[in-house]
Amino acid sequence: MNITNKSVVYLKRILHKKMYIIMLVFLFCLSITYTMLPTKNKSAQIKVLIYSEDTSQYNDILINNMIQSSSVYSFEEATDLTSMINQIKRNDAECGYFIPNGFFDAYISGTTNIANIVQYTSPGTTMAGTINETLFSHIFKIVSGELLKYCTDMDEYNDELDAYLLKYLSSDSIFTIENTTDGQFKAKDLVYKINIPIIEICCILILFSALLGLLTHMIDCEKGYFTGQSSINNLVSKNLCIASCIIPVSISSILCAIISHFKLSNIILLIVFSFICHLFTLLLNLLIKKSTHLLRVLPILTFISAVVVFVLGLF
Amino acid sequence: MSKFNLLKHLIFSDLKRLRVYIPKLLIAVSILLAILGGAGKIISNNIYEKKSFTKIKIAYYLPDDTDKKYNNWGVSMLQDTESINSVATLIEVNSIEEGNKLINSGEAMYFIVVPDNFFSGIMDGTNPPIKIIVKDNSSIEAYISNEVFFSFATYLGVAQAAVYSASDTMLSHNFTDAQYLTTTNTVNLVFLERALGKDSYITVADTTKEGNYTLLEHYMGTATILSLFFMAFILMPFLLGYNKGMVLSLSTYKINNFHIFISRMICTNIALFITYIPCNIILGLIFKKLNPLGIITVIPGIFIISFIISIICSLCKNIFSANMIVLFVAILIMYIGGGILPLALLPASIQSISNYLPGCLLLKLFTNSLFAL
Repeated sequence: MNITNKSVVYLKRILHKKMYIIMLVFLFCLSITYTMLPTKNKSAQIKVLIYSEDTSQYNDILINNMIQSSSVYSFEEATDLTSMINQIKRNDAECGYFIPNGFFDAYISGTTNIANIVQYTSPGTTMAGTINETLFSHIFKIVSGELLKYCTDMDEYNDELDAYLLKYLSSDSIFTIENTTDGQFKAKDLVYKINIPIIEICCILILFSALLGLLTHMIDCEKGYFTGQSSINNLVSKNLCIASCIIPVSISSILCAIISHFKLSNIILLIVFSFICHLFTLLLNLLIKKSTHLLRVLPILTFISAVVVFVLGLF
Repeated sequence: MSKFNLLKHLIFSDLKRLRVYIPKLLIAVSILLAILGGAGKIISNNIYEKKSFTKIKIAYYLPDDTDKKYNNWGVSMLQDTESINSVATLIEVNSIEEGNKLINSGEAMYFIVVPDNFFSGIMDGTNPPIKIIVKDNSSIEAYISNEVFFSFATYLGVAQAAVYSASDTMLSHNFTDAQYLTTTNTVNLVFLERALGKDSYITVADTTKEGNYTLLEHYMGTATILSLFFMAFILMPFLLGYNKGMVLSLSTYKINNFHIFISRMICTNIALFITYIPCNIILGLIFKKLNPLGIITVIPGIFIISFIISIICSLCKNIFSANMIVLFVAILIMYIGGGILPLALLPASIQSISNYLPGCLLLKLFTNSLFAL
C-alpha cells in the first residue's frame, strides 16, 4: 500500500471519529464567537475609592475635597466596605481607603493604631505611596486648625489662631510651588475586546490529536495489523497515523487564527508547534510501548501541556 | 458468613491490592505538586495587571552654603519616603550646568535647583522659590511626580502657616520668650510628625488574601487539590478492576454494586490520605507553616474528593472516559470554587453559585489544613 493510499485511509478513519469532528467544530465556533464579541470601553483613570465611618465635621469636607480635586487620581466614594474591597480585588480600582470612626480625633491627638486608616491594595497596586501623599496632604490641611489649637493649648485665643491661620493659608507668604504640568491629566479610555485564548486552545488540541494518533497506531500494532512489516514500513505507518491526526486540527487552527486575529507570527507558531508535537509523540513512543499505559497518561499530559501553554501565554 | 463479614473481607482484599499503587502515587503526587505549584506561583505573580509607569530620575542641585547641612537632611528625609521611592530616583549634581545636561539628554525628567539660603528663608518666611525644570510634562509620570511635589509643598506651607499663626497670636498677647520658644517648637514638631509620620496612621491590608491566606497560599491549596484529583489516573485500573465476571461472582455472595462502591471509597480515601501527608509536610516546610493537625482537619476534604472519584468510576465503563471525566470535573470544580481564578475575578453568575458547590469548601479545608497555625 503506497504512502498516499495509507494517508487517505488514516484520514478517513480519524474523520469518522465523533470526538475528532466535535473538536474541529469547536475550534471554528470559538473563533466565530470571538469575532462577534463586542468591544468594551474601560476607563484608564486611576480610580481610588474611599469609604468612611467617621462622624466628625472633617469627614464630609475631606470626601468632597477629594472627589472635586483636580488630581491625576480619580477619587470616588464607595457605598459600602464590601463593594469597595470587591472592586479592588477585581482590579477596577487602584486601591481604597477605609476611614474608621474616630480617625480624625486620633490623628489630631497623635494616637496611632487606635483608629488608623486602612488602605486596601491588591497585587496590581503600584501607586499606594503616592496616593497616600495626596490623601494625607488634604487631611493635613483640613485638620490644621484643630491641630494648631491642640499643640498650642491656648483655649482663650482659639478664635485668633483660626483667623491668623486662615489668613496665612490664603496668602502668598507661605511656601508653595508652581504647577509643572499642563492642565489636568486626560486619561484616554481603553477600547478592548474580551480576550479568548484561541491560540493556546489550538495548541492544546494539536497536542491532544497527536497523542490520539499515537494511541491509534499503538492499538493497531497490538491488534497485529503490522505483523510481518519491516521496521521502516512500521515507522512510516506510525508517522502517517500521527500526521493524519495532526493535519486536520492544524489546518483548522490556522484558519481560526486567521479569522480571530490575523498575525503571521501566530500562524508560524501553530505550524512549528505541530511539528514539535509530532516529534514529541515519536519520542514518547520510545518510553511508552503499551496503549493501556498511554491511556492513563494521556489526560494528565494534556492537562500539564495546558498549564504550560497558558502560563507561557501570560508572557 | 454475614454480609458485614463479606464486606470486611472485600475491603481488606482491596486494601491489599492497593499496596502496589502507593509508591506510584507518592512519586506522581510529588511531580504534579511541583508542576502545579510552580504554575500557581507564576499565575499568582502575574494575574493582576499592574499599571505600568517608569520610575523617573530627578536631578537636584544643593548650593554650597551655610544651609547645606539642613538641605541634605531634607533630601535624606524625602528619599526615605515611600512615595518618592516608588516614583523617582534622586540624583545629586554638582552644578546647574550638569543638571541642565541631564535634562537636555533626557536622562532626568526633573531638575530641581534649590536656591541659596533656602532653609533659612523657610524659617524666616522669605520663602525663596525653588526652580523646577521639567523635560516632559505630559506623561503620567510627570503628573504623579507633580502631585507628590504639591503634597510636600502643602505640608511645608501649612506647617509654616501654623507656626506664623501661633507666633503672631503670642506676640499680640505679650507671652514670655520662653513660652514663645516652647510653643513654636511644639508646633514645629507636632506638624512635622503628622506630615512625615503619616505611615503610623495607615494600616495596609491586601484584599487578595482569600480569607487569611495570601494569593500564593491559595494557589498552593488549588495545586494540592488538583494533584489529589489526578491521583485517580493512577488508581483507575484499581478502581475499575471489577469486571462483569467478578461482579457476578460477588453477587452470589450478596455483594452488590453498592458494597463495591463502599469498598472503592474507603480505599480511595486511604490512598489519598497517604498521598496528602507528604504534600502537607513539603508545603509546610517551604512556607514555614508546618501544621501537623492539618492531617486530621483535611479528612472531610479528602472524603469529598474520593466520593467524587468513586461516583465517576461507578458511572464509567472504561478507563479513558473515566480519566477524561475526572479531568473535566476537577477543573470545573476548582474554576467555579475560585481556585483557578480568584472569586472576585469570576463573573457574577458564577460567584453567586460558587458557595453551593464543593470547590469553595475544598479550598477552605485544604488551605486551612496546610497553612493555619
